[in-house]
Amino acid sequence: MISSIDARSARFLADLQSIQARQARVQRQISSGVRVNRPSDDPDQVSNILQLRSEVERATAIGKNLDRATAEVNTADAAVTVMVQLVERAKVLAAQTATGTATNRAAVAVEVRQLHEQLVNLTRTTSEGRYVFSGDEDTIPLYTPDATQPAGVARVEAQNTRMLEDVNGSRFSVARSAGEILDTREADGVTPSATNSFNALYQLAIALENDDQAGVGDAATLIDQSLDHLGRQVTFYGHAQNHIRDAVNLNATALIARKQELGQAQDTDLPDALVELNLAGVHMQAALGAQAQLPTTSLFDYLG
Amino acid sequence: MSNLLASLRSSATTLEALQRSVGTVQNNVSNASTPGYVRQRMSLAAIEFNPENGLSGGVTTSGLTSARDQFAEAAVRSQASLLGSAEESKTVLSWVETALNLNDASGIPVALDHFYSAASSWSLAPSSTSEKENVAAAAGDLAASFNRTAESLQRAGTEAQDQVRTTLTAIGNIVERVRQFNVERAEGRPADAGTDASLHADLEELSGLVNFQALWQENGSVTILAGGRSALVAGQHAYALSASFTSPEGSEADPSLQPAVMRDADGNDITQWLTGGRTGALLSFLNTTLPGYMGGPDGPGQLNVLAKQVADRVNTILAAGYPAPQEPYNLFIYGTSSASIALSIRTNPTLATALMNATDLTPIPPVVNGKALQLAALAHPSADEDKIDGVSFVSFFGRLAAKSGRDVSEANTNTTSRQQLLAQAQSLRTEVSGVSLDEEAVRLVEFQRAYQATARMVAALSDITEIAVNLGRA
Repeated sequence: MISSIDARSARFLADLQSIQARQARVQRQISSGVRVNRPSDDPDQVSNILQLRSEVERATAIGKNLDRATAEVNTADAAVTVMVQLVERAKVLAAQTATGTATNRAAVAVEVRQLHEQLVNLTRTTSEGRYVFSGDEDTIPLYTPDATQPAGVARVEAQNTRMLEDVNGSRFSVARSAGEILDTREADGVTPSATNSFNALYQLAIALENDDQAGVGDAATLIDQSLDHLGRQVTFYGHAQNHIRDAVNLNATALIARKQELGQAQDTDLPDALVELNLAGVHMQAALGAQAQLPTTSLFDYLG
Repeated sequence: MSNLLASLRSSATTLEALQRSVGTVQNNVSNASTPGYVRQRMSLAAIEFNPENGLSGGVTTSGLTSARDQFAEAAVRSQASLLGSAEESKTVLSWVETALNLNDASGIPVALDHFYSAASSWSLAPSSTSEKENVAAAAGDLAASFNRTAESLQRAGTEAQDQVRTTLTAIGNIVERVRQFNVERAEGRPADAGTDASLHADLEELSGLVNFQALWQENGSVTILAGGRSALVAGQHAYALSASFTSPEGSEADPSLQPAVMRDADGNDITQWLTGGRTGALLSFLNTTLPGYMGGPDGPGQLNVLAKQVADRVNTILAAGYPAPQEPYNLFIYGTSSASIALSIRTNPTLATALMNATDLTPIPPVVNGKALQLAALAHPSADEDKIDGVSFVSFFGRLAAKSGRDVSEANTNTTSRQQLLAQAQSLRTEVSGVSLDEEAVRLVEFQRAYQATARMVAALSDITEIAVNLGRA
């Protein structure tokens, strides 16, 4: 249906519609706080905004992972500290019973067995349902006491390849398996090495049970070497905690930067929007006023 | 005496002519706002005057003259066609923009981000069943977001098809009225100002619906050629346009998004000629714009490209290292038609979470959470195989949304400028052939004075005649 409105009035109405559309857009920006509500609000920024949102989401996810990893590493660090304490106790006991005058070797053997069992139990330390010393097999404990096996433990073989990633995409490891910490083996994968803590305590227990002074001395040497090795594991976890802390700080900085960029790209500039809204209102009033001022009379109004 | 009577008759004729002229002014003033109406003028002609031969002169009317200017009319129709096209484009393109909404909490970008986050969390506990289930759930949400977006675009296509049918109905109604006009002309009935106004109003309305060429015939009837080629009305016959939405044989196009073909009454494909009015905009949307996103005979469409690339890349990462066939280990599956992947994509119902393995077997030794890290890294890809056209999946979607935004923005600007241009053309037409109330008032005063003078002349002649009659009596 063709409108009966004359061309001038049609043009006025079209201009009015344009002003109203501008007002509606600015009001939407002010009420939502977002400058880009639809792609047509700023097509050139759409791709950038979506990518920035994605990066904020990614940094948030990495932050959560780092928080969980922090808890895990702290738990593992505390457990390794206890391991050191247990082996140090074994060292004391070995020193006490290494002399020719020791008479309580049998009784000490019982305590050493208990220390050995406590070491095995520490390999079952968990954080958020994961066995933190089980490497890639984090749903099962790797070690159980077994006197028939080398070092007095039965074990499940496991790699330790899990990596953590920071916001820059750099990957790093923050965990050691129980095998790496307490159950080091020779190249054949079977023979316990000199730094094997399980084996050191196991050998001490056997020597004490057999009242073997020389055996106690040999076991004491193994304990000293395992303590050195455990000291390096403590250092590893210290470094892991520092690494995670640095990653957390880096992530926090990146997250703030991305959020700031995102805010600049998509958020409403309130002063600008208010000025534009004000201008549109003034424009509207002026257009309505000007249209109202147009003469509505013709010569017919003056004919007698 | 006979000259006196002749003068009286001449004055009576003059009064009659002036009455018709005043009537013309009255009709102009009454129809000043009538759509399609143009200024009419009653032509006056002097009657032969030769008193020695008994010709008493005077004035008579010699017919109505219309001020209609066909060039001005054609200019208005041209602008109306462009405006109709711009307005329809603005409407249909806004549907696409709504479907690709960047603030939709259940849209594709958000679903992609959630999937990456789920994979990132999985990387910390690669053996965890609950983490695997979260990844699978996030994948399901991602597939659903593709489905929803595709369905929104599909609905836009269906609505546009309905709009085509509605527009064709409107065209048919106008064409029938024009045919009736032609029938009256063929019967010898001349067109008066009113029927002429209705005809041109109909033509202007038709131009907003479709581009056409109007050819005037000697008998006053009009022939309308749609797209300048196929007859809609010729003489007393009307010819209908028809629309069909079918794919060429062998096309992989989704059945619900088939190209639109317009045919004339003889079955000829005239799609390429219908470029103006709402019809032109709808055809362009159905045959060019929408297939660019959803696929058509010429290609799969960008949304389907994105869906396929996401699915294939995730599947490749997860299934790497497994023996062929890969399908049982795929997280995503989709249909065989490349133009409906976004509609059909879903998670593999036969993939148990137990089969989801985050171990990357490529490095030595394998990394137990390597695949989960690869999936998470899709958010910020560096490898080419993790990108489409050199950008991340999210950015690629952003490009689609940005394009829709640019199209809408351009359509808005176009509509505004077309409104101004149409108003300009209409204004020019009004100047050339419209009714000016002031001008009609001036003419009315003119005729009023002439009528008054002629009436006085009649009175004077009447007196003189009475005197002449009484002379005989005296």
